[in-house]
Amino acid sequence: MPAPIIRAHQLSKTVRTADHSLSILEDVSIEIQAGESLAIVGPSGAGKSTLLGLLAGLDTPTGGQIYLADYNITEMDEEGRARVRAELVGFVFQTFQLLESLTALENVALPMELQGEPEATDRAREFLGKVGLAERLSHYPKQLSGGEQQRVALARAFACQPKILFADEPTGNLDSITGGKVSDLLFELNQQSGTTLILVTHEQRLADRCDRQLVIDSGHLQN
Amino acid sequence: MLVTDLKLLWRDWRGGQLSLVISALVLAVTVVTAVSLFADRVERGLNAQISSFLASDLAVRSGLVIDDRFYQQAEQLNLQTADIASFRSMVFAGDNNHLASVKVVSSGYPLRGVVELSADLNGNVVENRSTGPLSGEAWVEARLFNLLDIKIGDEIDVGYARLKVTRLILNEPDRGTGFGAAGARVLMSWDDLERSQLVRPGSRIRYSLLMQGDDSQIQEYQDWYAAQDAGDDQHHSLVTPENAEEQLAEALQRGRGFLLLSGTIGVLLAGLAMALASQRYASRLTDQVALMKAWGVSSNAVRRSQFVRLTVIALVSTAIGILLGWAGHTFLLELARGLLNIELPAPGLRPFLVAGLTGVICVLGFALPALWHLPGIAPLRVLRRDIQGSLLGEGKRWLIGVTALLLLAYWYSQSFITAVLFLVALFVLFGVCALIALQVLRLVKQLGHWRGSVVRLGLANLWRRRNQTLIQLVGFSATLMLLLVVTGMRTSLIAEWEAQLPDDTPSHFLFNVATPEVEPIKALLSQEGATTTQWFPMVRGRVVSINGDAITPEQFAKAEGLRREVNFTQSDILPDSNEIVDGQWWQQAPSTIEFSLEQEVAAEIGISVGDVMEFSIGGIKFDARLASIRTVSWQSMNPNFYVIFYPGALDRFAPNWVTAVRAKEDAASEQESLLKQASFVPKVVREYPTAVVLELNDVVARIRDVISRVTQGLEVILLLVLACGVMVLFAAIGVSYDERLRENAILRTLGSSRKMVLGALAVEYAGLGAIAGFIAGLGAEVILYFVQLMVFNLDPQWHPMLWLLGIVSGTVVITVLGLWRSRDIISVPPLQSLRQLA
Repeated sequence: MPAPIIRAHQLSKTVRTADHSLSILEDVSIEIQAGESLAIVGPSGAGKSTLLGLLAGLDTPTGGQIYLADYNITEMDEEGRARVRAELVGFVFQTFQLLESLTALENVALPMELQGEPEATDRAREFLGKVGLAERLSHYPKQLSGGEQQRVALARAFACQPKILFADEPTGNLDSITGGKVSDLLFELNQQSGTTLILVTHEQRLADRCDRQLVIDSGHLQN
Repeated sequence: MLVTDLKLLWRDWRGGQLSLVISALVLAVTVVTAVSLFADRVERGLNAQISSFLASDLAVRSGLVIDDRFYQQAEQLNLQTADIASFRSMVFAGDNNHLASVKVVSSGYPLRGVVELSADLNGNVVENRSTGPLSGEAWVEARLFNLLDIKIGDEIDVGYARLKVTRLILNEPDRGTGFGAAGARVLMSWDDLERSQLVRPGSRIRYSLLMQGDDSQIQEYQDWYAAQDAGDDQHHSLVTPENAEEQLAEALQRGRGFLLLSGTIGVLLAGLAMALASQRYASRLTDQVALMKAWGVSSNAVRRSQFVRLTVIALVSTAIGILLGWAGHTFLLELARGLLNIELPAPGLRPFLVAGLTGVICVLGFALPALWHLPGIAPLRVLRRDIQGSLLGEGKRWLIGVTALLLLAYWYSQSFITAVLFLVALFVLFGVCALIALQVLRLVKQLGHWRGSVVRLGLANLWRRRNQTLIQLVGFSATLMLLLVVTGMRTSLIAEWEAQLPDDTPSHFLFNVATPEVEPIKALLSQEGATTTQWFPMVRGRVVSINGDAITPEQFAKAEGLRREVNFTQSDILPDSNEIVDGQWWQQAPSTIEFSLEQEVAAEIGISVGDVMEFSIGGIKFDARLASIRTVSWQSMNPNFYVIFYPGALDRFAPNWVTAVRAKEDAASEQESLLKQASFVPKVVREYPTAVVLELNDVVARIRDVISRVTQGLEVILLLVLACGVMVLFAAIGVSYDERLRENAILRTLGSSRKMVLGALAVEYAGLGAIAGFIAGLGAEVILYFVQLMVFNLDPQWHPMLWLLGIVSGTVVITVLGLWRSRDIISVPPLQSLRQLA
């Protein structure tokens, strides 16, 4: 059996408020295999997004270790984690996070351009084709519907060919029909590229399509 | 990566996020370039013209033959030189003679400017010469043709030299405004000086060594001169363009100070606009940076990317600003061309250097601090939008901004003290504006209660966003106030200058009139329609001691006016434009000889009322008691005196009389009046050959001319400052833009009509403008009160027009521009606004 691509060991996250400290995650340990798709589910405020942020190296835990591929990102500083994210990680967000002043094509090409990818524009065009937006390349985000914007975000995430894709409520801002179409597209692209997918969701339908589900409640892993 | 950075920059620009930052920067650089280029070129042009008043860049003058060392130093520095010797001498043509002002010049004369000549007596064909007359030739002033009854080609005798008159002198560059140019001018060659045998022991000749070179050579000569102890030399004096024509120099100084002050205000406003616009740009960049960091772009790479972007912004904006500034200054020069008939030198490097540095300093001081926190933004922000970057502390941002302003003000004024004082004054001003604004805002809030809903909504918005409103009010009112002050100051400047040159400015000085000639000349003048000021008797003499102590060389060094022989007069009435500051003007005949002294000289030699001064006139010494100290308006173009005795003191010294004459105005144009002599002149000089008439027309014209030029420059700069004020307005609206967009979208969604939203916005901006205009009017009035009182020595006046101008222009300009800038708020469909801001 190959080594897991993500390993988290006894993770905890505590935040200090004015008069006491608040534990958001406690003693969470997980292993995720390469190519696996995993849904993190649980009620609001359970700590799902916090876990996602920690696993993606966007935040640092108060205790425990996280390995992405062979990198122990808990030992790294922000610059080190940034290098790991650049190498391995892609994102899809609930609020799409498209840059308003960039066209669809530019939005998709931007992360590749930042990595110095010479074929950035061609690949962006190719992936926008895959998500069915070949005709909307030069449209700005505010000229696109919510579903279209999330498809642009999917194209942006997959065009970079990340090893691991983190999706935070990818359909949370969409109606159920549009959300269904977007999740179809997400799993289709995921299958094509063999990416490891970790998604946070409220929607059972979306969670059910994943290989595995983790339930979090009050900062603790259930089951 | 550079390509990516440039792409990002281009996209920011395309998205409109940068336009205000760049416009403000471009404008700042434009203002600096236009002001510096304009000031630099006009100043150097005027300096060159003043140089031509001196006929050189520098001159050493002496009553004795000028020492060889002065020539040697000039030679060593490779300066071009020319010689002048001037004296009064009788010139003869047949039976006619005249006491002429003879000027003997070497062939290099004039080094600056030209002698305007004509070969015919009507002066129709003007020749400009920059060389002196040849040996054996003489060029003479028009009136000498009448006085000696000669024509071109005739011969005159100057001493033992017989010279052929070949040209009529229309103008000479260094004619000067003093009494030296009293008799009709005869210009002759240095080569004929010896032959004339006029240089003898005891002859009163003034020698000048003229020098010309580039700025550094001239400076070097001045430094050498200062190091020579020559500064204390009683025999030689160094004359620079600055001290050659003090009135012009003073006008120039004021004009330059005004330009620089206006320029600094312009840059300050543009800087304020940049800082506000950069803040908005930074908030737009926050998501972009968080996303980039989530994708693994390091903080350093973000910082580097921002550095590249800012550098490109600085370079491009500065280049555009310099081009626009160039265009602006040529446009303005073109506008002023009617009055600006000086030859402008090519611009130096300094204006460009100052402009370039302004671009860099503005970016570093105003844009960078607002963006400084961006590389530190946590990548987690992509998941949790409530995470903000830790903005660079407000204190630090202020410190950086103020330092940048200080640097700019220093670069501009070249004086650290001026820069600091200027900024302190400005910040005090801002503080006071904020305090007043807050009170007015409170009042306005009350006012809103009993108005219709549109007005209430608009005014309520002002109060609800009072922090933002205050920032905008301070920005607007300070801008408007400075504009009003500038307008008011210009008016005061012109008023003061005009006051110095009243319409009845005399056209001629008449002097060397013997006592028996006074009455007949008075009759002749009134017959010719000419009017005169008071007639003063005049004798030359020296001051010797104060209270028995001989006046020391140090005292003389301070009081240059008394160093040589001085003209004394006597009068029982206080001359116009004189004012007693200490002691009393005579109410009745004093028991001893008493005199009145000019204030500055009195202070310089340290004498007070009641002290006794010893005078020497024609070898006869006598004591007199100082009865009063006076101020004298030297610009008044009337005969002015340092020393005035009570009538009787000078009777035994056979005084000559002097007066200022205003000829009957009958010449159609200035050109004509220059060529055509006033009708009384030939009669006076023919009938009273020893009387001397000095024409002031051209002197007055020159001074008027310079005043016009300087005022033109001021107006030009005002427009640029105004543009900077508009930038602040835009930037300030930008600060509250998102909030307004959201609120108005909600209002529209809830069913408010477009008209109501528009109306409320209009009321808000109009209110803002009116309050700003009111504060501006108030502040300007206060500042102008002190400016008039202390700077211009004018009686302070109220400026109701300025108040009106402030309130009306504030309301109109801010409403129109505010609504224009907010047009998206009204026109974008509410749903789109809400989504855009989600």
